[in-house]
Amino acid sequence: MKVGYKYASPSQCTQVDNHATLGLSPDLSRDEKVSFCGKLKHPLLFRDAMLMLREIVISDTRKKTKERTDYFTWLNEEIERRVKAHKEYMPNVRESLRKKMDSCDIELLHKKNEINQLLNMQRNLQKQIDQYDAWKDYYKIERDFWKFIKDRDYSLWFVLDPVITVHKDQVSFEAFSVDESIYGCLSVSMNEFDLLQTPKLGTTNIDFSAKLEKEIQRFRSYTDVTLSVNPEGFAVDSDIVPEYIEKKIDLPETWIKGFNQVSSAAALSGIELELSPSDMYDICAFLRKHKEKKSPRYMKWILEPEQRIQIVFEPFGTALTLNTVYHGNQRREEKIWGRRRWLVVEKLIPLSKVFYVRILGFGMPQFIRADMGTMQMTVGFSAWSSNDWVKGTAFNIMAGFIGEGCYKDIYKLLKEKRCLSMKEISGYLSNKKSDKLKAGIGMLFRRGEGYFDIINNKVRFRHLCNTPIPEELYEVSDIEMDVQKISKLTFDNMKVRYSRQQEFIFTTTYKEYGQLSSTEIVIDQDGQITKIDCSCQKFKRGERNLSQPCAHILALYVASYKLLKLKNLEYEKEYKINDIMEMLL
Amino acid sequence: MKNLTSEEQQRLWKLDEPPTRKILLWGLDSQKNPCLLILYGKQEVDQELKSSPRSYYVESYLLKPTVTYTNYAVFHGTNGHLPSIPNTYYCEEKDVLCYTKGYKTANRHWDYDRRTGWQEYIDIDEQYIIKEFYKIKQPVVFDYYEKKSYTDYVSYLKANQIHFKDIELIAHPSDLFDFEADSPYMDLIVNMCSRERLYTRKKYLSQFIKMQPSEEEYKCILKTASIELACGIFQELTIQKNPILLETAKQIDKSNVLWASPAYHRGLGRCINQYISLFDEKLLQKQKEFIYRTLPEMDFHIKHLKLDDIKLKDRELREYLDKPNAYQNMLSEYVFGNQNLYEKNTYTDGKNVNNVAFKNTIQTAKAYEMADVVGKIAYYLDAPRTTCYFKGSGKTGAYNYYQRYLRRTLDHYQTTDETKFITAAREMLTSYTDNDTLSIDYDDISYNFFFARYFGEILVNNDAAEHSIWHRYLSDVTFIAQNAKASLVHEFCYAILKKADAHHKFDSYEIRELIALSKIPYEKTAKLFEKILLPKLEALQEFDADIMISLMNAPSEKLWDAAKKYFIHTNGKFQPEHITDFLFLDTIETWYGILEENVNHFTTEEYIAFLKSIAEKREKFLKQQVELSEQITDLLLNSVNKLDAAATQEQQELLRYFTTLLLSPEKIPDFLFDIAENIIFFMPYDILKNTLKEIDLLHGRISERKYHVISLLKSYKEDIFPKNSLILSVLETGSKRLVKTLTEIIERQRTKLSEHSTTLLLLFECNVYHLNKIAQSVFEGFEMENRETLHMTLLDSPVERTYQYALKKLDDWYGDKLPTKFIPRMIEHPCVEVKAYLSQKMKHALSELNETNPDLYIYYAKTLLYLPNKVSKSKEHIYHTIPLFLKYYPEKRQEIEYILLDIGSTNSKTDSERALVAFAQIQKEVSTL
Repeated sequence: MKVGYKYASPSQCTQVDNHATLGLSPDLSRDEKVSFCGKLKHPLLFRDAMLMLREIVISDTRKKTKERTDYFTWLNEEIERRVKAHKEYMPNVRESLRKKMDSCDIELLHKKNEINQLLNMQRNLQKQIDQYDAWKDYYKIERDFWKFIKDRDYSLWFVLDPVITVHKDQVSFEAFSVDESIYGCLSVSMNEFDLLQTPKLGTTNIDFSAKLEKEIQRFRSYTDVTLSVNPEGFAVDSDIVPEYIEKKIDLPETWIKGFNQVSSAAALSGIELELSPSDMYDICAFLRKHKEKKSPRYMKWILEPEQRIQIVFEPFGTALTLNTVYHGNQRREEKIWGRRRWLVVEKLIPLSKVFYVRILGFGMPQFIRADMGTMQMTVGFSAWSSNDWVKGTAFNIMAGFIGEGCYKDIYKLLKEKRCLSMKEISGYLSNKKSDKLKAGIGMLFRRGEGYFDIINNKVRFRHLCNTPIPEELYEVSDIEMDVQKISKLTFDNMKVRYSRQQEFIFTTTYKEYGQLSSTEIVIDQDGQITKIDCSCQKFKRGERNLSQPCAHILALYVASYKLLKLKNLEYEKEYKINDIMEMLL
Repeated sequence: MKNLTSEEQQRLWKLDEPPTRKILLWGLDSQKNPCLLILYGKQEVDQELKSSPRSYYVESYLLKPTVTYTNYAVFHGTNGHLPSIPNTYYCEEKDVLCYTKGYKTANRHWDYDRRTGWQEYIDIDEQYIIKEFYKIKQPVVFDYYEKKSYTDYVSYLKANQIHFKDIELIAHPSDLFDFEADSPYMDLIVNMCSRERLYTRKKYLSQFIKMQPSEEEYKCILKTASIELACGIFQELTIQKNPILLETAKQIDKSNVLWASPAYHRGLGRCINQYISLFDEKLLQKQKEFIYRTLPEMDFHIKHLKLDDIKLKDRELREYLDKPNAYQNMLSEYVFGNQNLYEKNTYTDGKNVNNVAFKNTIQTAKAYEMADVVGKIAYYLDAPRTTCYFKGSGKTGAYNYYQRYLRRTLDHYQTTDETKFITAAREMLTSYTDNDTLSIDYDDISYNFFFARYFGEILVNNDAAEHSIWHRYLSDVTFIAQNAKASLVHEFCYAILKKADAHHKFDSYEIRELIALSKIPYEKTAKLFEKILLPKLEALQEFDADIMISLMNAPSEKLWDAAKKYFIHTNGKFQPEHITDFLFLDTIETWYGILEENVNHFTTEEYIAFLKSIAEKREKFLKQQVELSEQITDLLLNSVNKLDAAATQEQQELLRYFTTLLLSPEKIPDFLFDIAENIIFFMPYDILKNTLKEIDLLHGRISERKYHVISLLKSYKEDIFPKNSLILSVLETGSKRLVKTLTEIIERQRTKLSEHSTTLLLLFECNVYHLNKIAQSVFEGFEMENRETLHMTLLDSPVERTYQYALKKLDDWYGDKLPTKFIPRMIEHPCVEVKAYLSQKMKHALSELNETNPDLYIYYAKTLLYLPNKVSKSKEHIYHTIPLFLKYYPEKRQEIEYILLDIGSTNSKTDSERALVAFAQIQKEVSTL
């Protein structure tokens, strides 16, 4: 999705004596001209929280593949050059070379002496130059710089400009990581500010450069820090032709989709656990000490009613007992993948009074909320899967976000009220059915026009982008409708087998319009799908792999994710659905 | 059949269904509005004709000479104006009269009946069925082949007392049209108002206009004319640029009286506007501008496509559409008219064409004689994407209409105004691409009708190429050849040019023209011109740099060789200005060697002339968006060294020249800016300083890059220290040369640095090693009192290089005795390294801990103690200092105890043990107290 941002000036941080102003330039291409000016009461806390938000933005846990395009380009050119040279000079080259070599040998002797003398002179001169040369390290520095650019993908840092939203009761900063797996939202209560002007509500992308991040690091408890969001920008020299800074960015569609999904997933119900800083310290310390090299890489949370929570870290099999007691009624086990991402919260441990961990279930995001008093940091982890369709379609189906529902009414209501709880929404729209409301709220989230505030359990109005996002990013796909329709049939003939390679093999058959489709999916210990197959025409006609699954495969996946917690299964034995239900009960 | 008499020949009918005949009469209804009465009757078959009496198949029919008219329909006019002549169809199986469009778009389905077998059922939309369609009470019979006038019909009907519902027939057309019965126009008027076929009516209208009727006579017709007739009149007058009805048109335009339903009336409005605009320069220009602006929107380029539930976009879509027969293949996918394939614009809603707008533009283009637009639209309609859209979305009728309309227009141009035809053809031929699957075969759906009609013959017929009108427009042919994108178009041009060459038509062409023509990207054509060019080139005796450069810019190696030969045999030499022209060459990379050699061998005077010549041509560089490769830019930048040999006066003059250039707000190419910057700062310090004395560095609003250079020049001129914002900006975005200059300026004024502590911090934090060193030496030369403040600032820095230096200096200067002033600074530092360093010194610094903010101490301790699996040694130091801290701040005991117990409860053995030991120690000390 191509978006253009327009800033009056770059964001900047000015510091005069002990007064610092963090001036954020808002995107001028938005309809709502948001503005804010307030003095922070706890600049140190704000500093650390903002630095952590930045860490989220640049966090990239994807596998790095070595790109050697430059090398291959050079290689091709070199080969071409040599072939050309060979063709050109080969004829008679030896003869002429011999002649030349003879004459050169004589000349060489004369020149050698000259060279030696010149070299000595050069060495002496170089020594003298080096003493005064500002460029001694220039090339090294330049190389480092380019390496930095390459490593970090500088443009991406711009891509991921966080969004700031000024609400009636708080100011929130939202960001989503480069690898589309971590969502961060720093909510700063209005009580944290001494307001210097009446805020204008709204959302904007902020020009949050690496330079600005460096300046934020200078905040101290003895500096008066003013946070200012000013649409007019921040001028310095008047001699220069003022130019609006315009950024044209091609936002990855998966990034927008992921952002909307994780920020809205908080609306779903799950288990919430209250962890002390020492518990979080334990988890992070373990992750710091142990680096897994083989699968499975999940951590299994064992929740026994009225017992201390236990976490088993695989593949080590080490169990960690936390101080927190689980107060739920039912025993549960939850496997969480992508655990190394949890390390982003380690800097919040000394700042937080308590951590709240919300687990929504397999294949769904998890949330950690750090309570720092007037500031709250919500960190959301997307479902750990590299399969885009799982992230998209399965999520929508599991969350019940199918269809448009009464989206238009909800949009209108929230634009006016800005922030409402689910109950308040159903109160205002009492004439609407609850499933329509849910679907409508889901559509609001999918369109990036709202997010769920996990702290206050409210839906908040916020436009993620300055232009409406393309339909294909939020539309309810035909396949989603099909999955919803056939999902009831999944359990009819479903069977599970546990292979010696410790993989779950789920099979089922669907009968539609007199046609029989046999479907199979294989899921490994990391919850990743390793094989899929279906006898339906649609699947056979397509790519026959994960990039083009049919509705049957999706429906079977949605049904099977609940069964991955089955244990003590015999190898290669086929379990029917009745056996499975018995085991579960 | 061969034996048919001439009377029988007349009655011969070859179609399956016998025809329905119509008689059109006029009358007035009860509202006194003029109406149309149409009688309908089927002409029955008299006899079947077969090739032989035994043949089963009927080949044709002989119709009965008489027609029995059984039905009639009445069409009412509005506000005194006749209705337009309707295009109707009598549906016999349903016994209804409907508009032809309704019949064509009716829903059809087949059903099986035991008795009759499969039968087609038709369901016509109600809106298309004509309500006022009645049976004639007593049949009316006329001989179809006997010529009858209007009055004959009316008098027969009246004589037989045949009456029609809500219409009183008028006895003579002159009663309706206000013309004398014996007027020479009468016959034409009757025909143009009553003929069934549109083009026949149009033909009579043209004849009428040719007779140059007076304004009054026009007005008489317009008084009762239908919308259709009025539109025709105004369109014809527009084409003929005849202002006779201008005032009348304006009156009609202003009037609120509707001539028909509002939708139809709008059509009249459009024609009138075209007519009025023709005589108003501003309006005409506006309409033309609108057409030119929206013209590309008439092309049916697909922007979105969904195939098999997969959306294709960007590169994928382009690749798909570039495949051969992509559009034809899409026909079977039923995407046309069903998917939003296009961007919404004036001519489409994304899915379907807006026929009104499309038709209007075509008609306007014709009316205003915009031949190029006509040509462009003809190309759009010829491209398979458009053909397939219309045919695939069930709009073949509309497509045929547009095609017919343009065909007639182009035919008209061809026969009456060749120049217009050539203009249209130029536009068409330069638009075709190889992706338009150009074909002159008839059996292909992508059959390019216009291409085949107007240019196909020349491709296949040698004689046609020989005698083509194009020989009178050879400059247009060469233009097309130079701009054509499709190989078949190139072939077309070649066919004509080859013939022209045989007749020595290019012998008089100038060398420059021939060089340009030799660059045509079609090998055969290029060779044809090369063949003419080379002997002419060899015959030249004097060197002309422009010819040489033109040859060098050709994409052909043969021409390059010719250029080299030409250079040698004419003893060529380039002037500096010509070398500047090298920079405009598309083939500059090929001639890099010559450029390098020339630049290196320039004398100082030549080199200076070369530099100035580049600067003088700055506008041309910008206009042509010339971007030089890195290799060439480097060559130009490095060549500045040649100025070493220049005399002081020359250097000063050059400095003045380029400084003035930078002071102007005018935009200059980036590479020229680099050269200017390099020249300015290449000058020795003394010359720079002396010359700047004479230059006023005042400027208006200039770009940031220029501002940097000018500001640094000011520093040189006035010996002032650069502003911090300038230093920062130069360090961030400045070129190598600029950073070097900045370094030199700071070096020269390093004594002033001690007064600028913020600047010092900036130099400490920057990435330039030499500036770091300058800052360090200045800082180390400070007196103790001044040093501490800056030292604390350096410790605050988030830049690793800077705070590490500050920490090292702490060690060097204070050892273990860390001054307490530094502690609060370090406690709040965001970097672990600084905090860890502090923890080592804490024990010694603690004597002054009573002056520390206790909350900050706790913040500091927590940020280290809660750091998982890191800074173990520092943590130990902290645990040691905790009891001492509590001695000064006993009120913080509870908070500290909570932290220690919290860490004590963790699974980390070392941390837990240390925390609990510290906790026990606190307890012990309290109990001791």
